[in-house]
Amino acid sequence: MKAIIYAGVGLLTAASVYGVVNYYHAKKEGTFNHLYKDEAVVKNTNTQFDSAKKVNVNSDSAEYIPTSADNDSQKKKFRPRIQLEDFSRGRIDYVRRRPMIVKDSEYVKPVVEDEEKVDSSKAVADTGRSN
Amino acid sequence: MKFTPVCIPIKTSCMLNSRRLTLYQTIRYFFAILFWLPITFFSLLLIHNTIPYFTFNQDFSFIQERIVLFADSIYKGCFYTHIMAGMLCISTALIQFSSYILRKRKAIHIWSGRIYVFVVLLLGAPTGLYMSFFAKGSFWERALFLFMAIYWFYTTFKGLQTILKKNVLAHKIWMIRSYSMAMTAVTFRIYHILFYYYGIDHMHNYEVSLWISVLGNMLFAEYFIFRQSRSYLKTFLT
Repeated sequence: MKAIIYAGVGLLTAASVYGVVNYYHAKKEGTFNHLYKDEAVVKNTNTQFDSAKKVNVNSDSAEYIPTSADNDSQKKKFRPRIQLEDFSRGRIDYVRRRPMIVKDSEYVKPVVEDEEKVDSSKAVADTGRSN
Repeated sequence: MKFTPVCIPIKTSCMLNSRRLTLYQTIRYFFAILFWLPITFFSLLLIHNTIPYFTFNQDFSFIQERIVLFADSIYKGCFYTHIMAGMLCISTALIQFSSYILRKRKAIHIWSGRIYVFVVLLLGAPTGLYMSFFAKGSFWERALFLFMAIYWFYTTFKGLQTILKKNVLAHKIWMIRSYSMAMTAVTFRIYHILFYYYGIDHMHNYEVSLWISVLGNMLFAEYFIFRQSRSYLKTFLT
């Protein structure tokens, strides 16, 4: 049992020393600037989009994760549904349950490299590339 | 034959006492179930939700937020070791507080305790300490994670040290403190979901849930220890 205690103390000391060294190294390299940022991310499954903002409800090609910049009215309408998967330390990703509906007037055809692959009936949203 | 009227009141009083005792026991069992049922459920849910991480798929919101850190093999190794240790800790600790196991199956208590101590001292606390430097939140949240790792290690170490000296009472106290730290993983998630439900934005939700879970668990553990030892402390007054 004493061996476990000594090994534990050794590991804890090593972890703290290594942690401090890596922390300052990461701070110097600016790694923390890229961590935990509230950026709009599209989890693409079929099609690659760079900075999609709106996703057609009927489309199953992409999932939109909201940003803090989302308007408040959308948030008010949204009623969270708790799922067992949400029991996690990670960010509760309510976006997949809150798709943004794109009006016809706002719809901008996505710019995709291979036009033939795009099914017009399932065309998705403003990809941001058009800007 | 002479009737002794004294027997009747004594018998009635005995019956009342036994009924009262049964009632107290029932209430005690009821509250024990009320306390342990959600703990068991949420602990098992945590284990259930942790298992998919071992597919080593990075498509989890927790990993996606830290994708830069996961490029580092040491951080990655620490993360997987830490969640493995957490699963083992929570599952072994669940049976440690059962008085039935302690009385009837002491070997189970001893071996599961050994696993708990081994896992915390060698895997859970050191990896948690390393990861705390890169934790989400401000400087204070990182400091809190750092404190958690050290406190978890220290309380577990004291729990082991006291039982090696055959001091069972102190062992119980230190292990309650250690378990309260292990359970912050569970209570954090409960608060996180609750605050999310009430529409608190993610970052505030994360920070508040973290502080409440750690401080709340510590206070609850101290209150629990005080309540348990109240009768013992009273002996000093007489």
